[in-house]
Amino acid sequence: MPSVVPHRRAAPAKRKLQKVPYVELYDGRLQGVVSSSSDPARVYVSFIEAGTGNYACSTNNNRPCGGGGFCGHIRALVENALAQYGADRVARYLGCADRNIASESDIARQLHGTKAAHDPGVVFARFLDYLRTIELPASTEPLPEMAWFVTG
Amino acid sequence: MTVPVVPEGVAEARAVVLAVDRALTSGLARLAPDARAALGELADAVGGTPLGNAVAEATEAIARGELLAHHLAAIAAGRAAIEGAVCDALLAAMAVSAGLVVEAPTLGLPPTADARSLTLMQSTQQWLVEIALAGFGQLDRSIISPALGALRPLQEHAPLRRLAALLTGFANELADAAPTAGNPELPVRRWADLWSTAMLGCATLPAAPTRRTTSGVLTPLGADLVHHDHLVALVAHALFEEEGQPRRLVRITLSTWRVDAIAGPEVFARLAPLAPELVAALASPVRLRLQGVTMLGTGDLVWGGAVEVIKGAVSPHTIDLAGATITAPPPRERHAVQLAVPCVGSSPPADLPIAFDRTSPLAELTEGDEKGALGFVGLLRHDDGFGVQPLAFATKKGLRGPAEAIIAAGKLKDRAAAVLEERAGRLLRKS
Repeated sequence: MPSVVPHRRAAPAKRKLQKVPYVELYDGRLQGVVSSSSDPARVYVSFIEAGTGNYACSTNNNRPCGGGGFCGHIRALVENALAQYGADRVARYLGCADRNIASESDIARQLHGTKAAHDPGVVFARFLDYLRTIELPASTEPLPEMAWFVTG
Repeated sequence: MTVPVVPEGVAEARAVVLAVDRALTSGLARLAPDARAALGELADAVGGTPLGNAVAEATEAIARGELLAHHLAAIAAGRAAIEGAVCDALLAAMAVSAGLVVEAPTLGLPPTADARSLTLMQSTQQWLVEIALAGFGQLDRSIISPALGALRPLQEHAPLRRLAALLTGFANELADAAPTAGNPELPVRRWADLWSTAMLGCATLPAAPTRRTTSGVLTPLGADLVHHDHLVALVAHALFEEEGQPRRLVRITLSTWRVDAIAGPEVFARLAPLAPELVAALASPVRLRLQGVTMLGTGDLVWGGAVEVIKGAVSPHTIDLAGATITAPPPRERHAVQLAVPCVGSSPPADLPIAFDRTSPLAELTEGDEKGALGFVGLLRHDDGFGVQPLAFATKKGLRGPAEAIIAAGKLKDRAAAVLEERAGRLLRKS
């Protein structure tokens, strides 16, 4: 008899929130926001598209990142996605055939995309919307629907 | 506690459901002969019940290619009715083995949905229809993305909080698994359950349980943690004794939305402030005298009123639960996944498997913890068989369960959220 309970997932590993405050597998992309390592006031918006491996990185007002190619920001994004979601989930989402992932470079070597047009506003808007989840009210009323979930 | 006996008919009932699940996996838009037969068997199984006509009509309509929302809702209701009958039989068997008395829930009429709820329920139902037409085995991101985008309005509309909690978990789970084509290991039964539950949640609002204000003595037994990436809930199981009422097993639920970056102890830091005295009483077990607390007709207490600690430590694993009353799930929630019968003792029943996979990784209980434990608090469950989900183990050093970690987290500030908001603020400025 198949089970109704999902296999429980390992709890996420520690992530560098200050470095990568936002990372998400969303709408066919691994996307996120990465803090600049030189200027604490600056943040970059980056993504990798699932399937194609196309990528982009720029500041939020679309000033391109000087790093070129798979820059340090995108690498930090992947590294933190691996911590948050686990290697298997990230590799599967991006469409990497080899699921044997020890670090972000094992993902990077399997992606052969090119630089894509960037729309940092879309990623940024999603980050703000994602944050709004925290502001939804808590409750002490029953929530029997949660009996279905023991994941994450 | 004795080992419960699986009631007669459970296997047959589930065979009917499994065949429907295969039809939902291949998709109702292209109905293969065996899928058509499966829907026919579902109609036969519920024939003679109040649902009989609706399911029979829906089955014929779907076979003709008429794929309207109310037809699919009838299939969901028929499937849920069978799961409900299984649930009733399982609960009766579990109550016998645990020595408990089952009482029926007391409910009012379903509230009338406001216009905003109706609109949101209809659009959600439309998405669920599309999922069923495509089939769980043919889902790609393009079909799931619209649902992800539509979650926020559901989450923000308080009357639909329960539907939003379910859909947020379900849609994200589908998005995580997409594309599903060619994957032989899809959790088809689970998805069909979530799909039917959501379909029914889009049809009408659930009936509101009766509410009364009462006073009594609460003995906390243990806490279960349930969560997906966007919501976490603590469900405390306890014994409640009030004057003029039977001793009753009750639940108290604390829940909060979150983002996946808020994990580990920081999750607890968001829950504990909702009922600090309860969380403290779970970590260092004591009894609590409650005054002016709200008792629901579903056997749930809604935290509130005055709380007084009754001096003297208690050991939850030594509490005698025999003869206590447990409330059956209301009609809409009749499904084996909702059955959680508290059981306590010096060790888990020897003949039942310990279902560690039902326990949250946040509870930090692992296989082997049962060895050398002095006592045990758990929930009798049924998934593909009976099992006991551990909630806590009593050890020489005290109680091992999630509550201690929750107390420790009380000292944490809500740090992750502060970092995220500061960084988001940087983005709002030009750089």
